[in-house]
Amino acid sequence: MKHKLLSGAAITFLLTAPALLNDPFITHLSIRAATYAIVVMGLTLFVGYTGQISLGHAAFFGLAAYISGILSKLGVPYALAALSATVATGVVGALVGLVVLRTSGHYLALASIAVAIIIQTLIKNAEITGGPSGLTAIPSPGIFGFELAGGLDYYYYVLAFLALGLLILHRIVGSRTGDAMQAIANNELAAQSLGIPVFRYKVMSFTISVLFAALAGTLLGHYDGFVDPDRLGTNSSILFLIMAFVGGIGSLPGALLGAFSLTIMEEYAQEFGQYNVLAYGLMLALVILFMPKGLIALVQRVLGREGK
Amino acid sequence: MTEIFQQLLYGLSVGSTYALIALGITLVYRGMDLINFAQGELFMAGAFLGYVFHVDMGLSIWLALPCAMASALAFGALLERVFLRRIENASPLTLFMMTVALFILLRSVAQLIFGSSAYRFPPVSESVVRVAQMQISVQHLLVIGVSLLMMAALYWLFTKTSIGLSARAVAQDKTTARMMGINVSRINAFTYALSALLGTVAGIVYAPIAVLSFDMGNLIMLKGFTAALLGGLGLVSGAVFGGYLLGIIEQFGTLALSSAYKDMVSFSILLLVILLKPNGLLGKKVVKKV
Repeated sequence: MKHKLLSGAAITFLLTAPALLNDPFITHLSIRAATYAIVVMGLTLFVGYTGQISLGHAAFFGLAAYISGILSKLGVPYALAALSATVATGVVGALVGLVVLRTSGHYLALASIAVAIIIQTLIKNAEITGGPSGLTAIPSPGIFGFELAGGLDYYYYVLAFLALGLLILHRIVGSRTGDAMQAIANNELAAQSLGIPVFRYKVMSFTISVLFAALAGTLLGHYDGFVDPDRLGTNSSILFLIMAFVGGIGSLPGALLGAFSLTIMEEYAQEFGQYNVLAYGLMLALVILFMPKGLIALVQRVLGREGK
Repeated sequence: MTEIFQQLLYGLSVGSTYALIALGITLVYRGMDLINFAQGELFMAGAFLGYVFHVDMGLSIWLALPCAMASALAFGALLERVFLRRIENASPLTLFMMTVALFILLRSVAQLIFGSSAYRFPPVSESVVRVAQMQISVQHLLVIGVSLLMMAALYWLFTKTSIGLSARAVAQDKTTARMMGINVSRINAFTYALSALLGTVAGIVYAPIAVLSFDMGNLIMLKGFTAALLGGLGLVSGAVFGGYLLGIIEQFGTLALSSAYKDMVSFSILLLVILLKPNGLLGKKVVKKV
């Protein structure tokens, strides 16, 4: 009951708040928050449910934005460009996963950084990507003759993907596959000795989370109209992880909460100049120290008290 | 031939910085079961500490260095007490994320205090020694010398002093060490303080041959990890060996490749090591048990 109330409120809020406020800046923020939420949801599956760590997801996010942008600038229709970018990045992700997931824990964190930096360096030094200054003038998306030039239309477009992604992840988490992933998170060796093909599930979880990051990358790339190599950096990857942790690691609603609250915080903290990065660090440290289950636990506790 | 020796020397001096960073990483990894993502920021903070004592307060470098080292010990112990003690028994993932938080905090606080510009750390000596047609800058020799001295001091600390021996006991088996009456939390503070000290020494000797800025820690940390993995993560000898080896490989790799791809050399090495020899060049195969 509590759970339904909470999700009902969240859905209503996401659907109506930007439309009711009807402020271009709020809409812009909501679009960014929603695309980040898609990445963070994918990370939640890999980090929260499977218990692994990745400090390189921004590289896949950016890679997909680049591929989709380059393809559409070459004249490929938007839908086809975005789809092939997502699939291509997913394939890259699967290949990377097949290689780096042979290791785990500490090694994985470092391997993911190394892979991300290598992808970033290659993009920075290539011609077709626009080099260090980035790819500009990525066309806005159009589907079946409708052009989505930003604004509320685009927000609902992103929200549709967000909902679809949430549904898919919800099904995965509730399935036997999800149970197997959680078993790996709890104790990898025990899971293996129970006959769970650990490596296969890790690659699966990684690839799914990369697909989410890639999809979000194409969504934001076409919205912003440009993408530069900084998007792929370790700092962006860390930002996604912080969103997952602050929202509540291992909780899908937590992923949404983390992405939305930190995106909004970032925009407002920018008024204080350099303090916004500091705010991220403080937030992460405070959440780990005092609220290990994240902001979502706070929300649930407040609702639980009202229920009594 | 002299050119090769010259490059080798540069490689060794950068490598000794990597070795110090890798040693800090190794100590924390062994003692606290923790991958310290903030090790590079301890290095950066230490270099700035040295700068404040040496340039701002005008102390001679031989006075500024011990002052910075003492402050680094206190600072490291403080960080452990405030940020890590409370979550001592949390999952490795949570502990790791806390060091990510420390990474961000140290970096942004440094940016607030010192701004985004690059500082020049005056070298101890600008003189150049000529040996058989080679020009060797004294600063590079100093980097190597100080690092070797630090390693000797560490060796003494961990074999001859009671706190060093207690730290080794904790690294071997926390529960048994606790039963033997060792205060594990205190040892953790000692370990983290020591890694801050190593970072500081590395920062102060390295800063004069590079530039000082708030974002200098990130890359060095990754290099330090590469060095630690190359030698064998968790091995003290591996950290030293890996540090020197990486310094030399990088120096010669940069000569062969365009400088745009310079950092890719170390990260390709990192990936290769993780894949081909996950226990490092000096490590032995570890069998995991449930």
